[in-house]
Amino acid sequence: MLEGLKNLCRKKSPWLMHFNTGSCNGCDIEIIDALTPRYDAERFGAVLKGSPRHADVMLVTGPVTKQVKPRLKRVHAQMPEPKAVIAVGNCAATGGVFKGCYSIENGVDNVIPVAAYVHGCPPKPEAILFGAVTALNALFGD
Amino acid sequence: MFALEALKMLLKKPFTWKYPFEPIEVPEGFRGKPEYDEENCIGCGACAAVCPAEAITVTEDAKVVLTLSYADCTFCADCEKACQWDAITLSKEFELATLDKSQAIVQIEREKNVCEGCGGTISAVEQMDWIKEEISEIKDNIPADDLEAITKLCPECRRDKAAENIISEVYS
Amino acid sequence: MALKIPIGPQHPALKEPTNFSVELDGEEIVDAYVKPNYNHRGMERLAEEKTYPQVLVLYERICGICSQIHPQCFAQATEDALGIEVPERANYIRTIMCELERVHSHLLWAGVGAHELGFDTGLMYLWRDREAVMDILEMISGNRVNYKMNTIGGVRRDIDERKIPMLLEALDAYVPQVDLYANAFTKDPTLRARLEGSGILTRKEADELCVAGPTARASGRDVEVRRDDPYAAYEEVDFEVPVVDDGDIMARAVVRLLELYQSINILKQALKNIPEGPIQADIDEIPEGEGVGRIEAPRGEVIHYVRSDGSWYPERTKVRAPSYVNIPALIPMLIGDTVAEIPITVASIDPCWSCTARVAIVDTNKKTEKIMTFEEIRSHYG
Repeated sequence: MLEGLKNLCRKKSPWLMHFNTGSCNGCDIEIIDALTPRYDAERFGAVLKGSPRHADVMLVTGPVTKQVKPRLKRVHAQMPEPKAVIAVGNCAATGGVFKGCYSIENGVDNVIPVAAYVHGCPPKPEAILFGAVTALNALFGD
Repeated sequence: MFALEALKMLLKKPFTWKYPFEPIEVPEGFRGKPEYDEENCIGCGACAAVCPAEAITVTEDAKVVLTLSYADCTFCADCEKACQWDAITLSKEFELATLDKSQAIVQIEREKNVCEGCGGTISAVEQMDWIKEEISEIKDNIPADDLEAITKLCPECRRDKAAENIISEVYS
Repeated sequence: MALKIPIGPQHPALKEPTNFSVELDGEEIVDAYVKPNYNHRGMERLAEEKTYPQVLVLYERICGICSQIHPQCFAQATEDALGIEVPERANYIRTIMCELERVHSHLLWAGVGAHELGFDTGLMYLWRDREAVMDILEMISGNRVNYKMNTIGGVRRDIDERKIPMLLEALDAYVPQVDLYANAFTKDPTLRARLEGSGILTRKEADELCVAGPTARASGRDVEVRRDDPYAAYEEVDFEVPVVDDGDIMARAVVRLLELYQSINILKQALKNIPEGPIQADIDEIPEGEGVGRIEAPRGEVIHYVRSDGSWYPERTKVRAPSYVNIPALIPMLIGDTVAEIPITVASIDPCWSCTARVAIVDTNKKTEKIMTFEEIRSHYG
């Protein structure tokens, strides 16, 4: 009962954090775009926070470069439980077009566990909203 | 400075779209999820050859299978341009979130011609039909032996056979 | 005793990973160090393994904001190397795409700048109006970002003649909005107090550091590739190059806002005068050779170099992005300012870290780091 209420609260106000791990900026501007007037993710209680300690959901973009890998692990460890990671864009999912570069880890799931993937290069802001809803439903029940 | 603008906006309809409660329309020519056409595809693998992100893989086990992982895809539409049979198109579907990236695939299967020499793959059946059609005009210039070999043997076996023929000619 | 504080790689004021450390005396910055390279992916190496059309797709993803500029610059360098003549209509379409991208990039910059000032109303209004140009880009190219319009020897998609009146109308609607922001940025007393006189880059420093783009033109350094070395259809359109001498953050904002008017002006001329004809050149063979492409990106001059060995694969490519020369200029800008000015000063050059990452040797085991000089690289690999 209490768990159900908790999950409902988590689902209704996910606080987001955005971490760029070497992406091309395309997904990053689309994430910011999803928070600006036309898409307005704040309708769903989503707020973009600067600190990982305040965040429930981390939106990761980029193929994870070798330099940023230890920082990604640290930032992920700083997030309080329960936490979820959403990989936004195809280079965060598999490395995308950067597959084969010597300085990347080919996707976020090789470094930290990922709850959901939003495909697209870059995904439209609508697709990011849809992906966030999919991930939250899967994590905290429909 | 924006007070006037804010007042103006108060009198207008909300700028925010209702999505996801109302569907949105994407413009003509939008590059979304790639789809194969079951009828037109001949399984030649041209799409796999041009793909810059190596998102399309060709496997030839029981059948010729083209697997497009849209978790790798860059939605550049180079495959659409390379396909002269219009068998792959980028649809308007853009809601592509998954919980498991290995599920993010589009597949098409084609029957294959089996090599009589080694049991390997010659090509997809449809591709062979196309090849036959293409060479029908110059059929008379090709030795009957070679023509048969093209339809019954895989490239490796054909090479072996040609080499055998040359050797037997030289040493006989 | 100076206090040293690190900023980044993950920081609310930074949208991309990078690392600064600033030395403070009280609240005043006495020294600053910038460490980019968190975005280094190794694309130039990967480009050697891909064919020319595939490299276009890869280089589009150097930067998602300049996703017309980089592939176009690569295409221009390749056309130079292979001796391909681009059809006139393709040149006009490239010009239109470049300018649409400049409009979207400058609006994006102004929004981010407003956000760094704590002026989120500005961010919301600017990004609201940015949606109109994003819609135009999506309508022309089929995607909001990463347009994939260019191909070697032309463009892939044509602009529908029936859409041109609609595009002109949308551009006319932009002018009063740009007026609104230009007024807000130049007349609002709070914004003026924050922007004027901070983050100063003098003309001398700008010349020494060879800065490019709006950062240079705000310090009185009159460089502009579109005018000095016209590419695409820039020879056939009239425009002015705004230059301001003040060198502070306000000057950089003013230059970008004035450029917005010029971009709308160029777009109107290009859309009205676009000639009929093919949009792609035929390519018969790939000769050996080398070529260079230069483009004025929203942030400054982009240079691409291509060497062809006659095969399908480029033998060597080299990219120089504008932020590469602009980022060192942050150090003289930051010194003498206060801590509160760091986010807006950094944002004022519109840095693009993903464009920039270059040769760095990072030993993650020993936690040591060494940036190689040109001589070291030559002795190491020569």
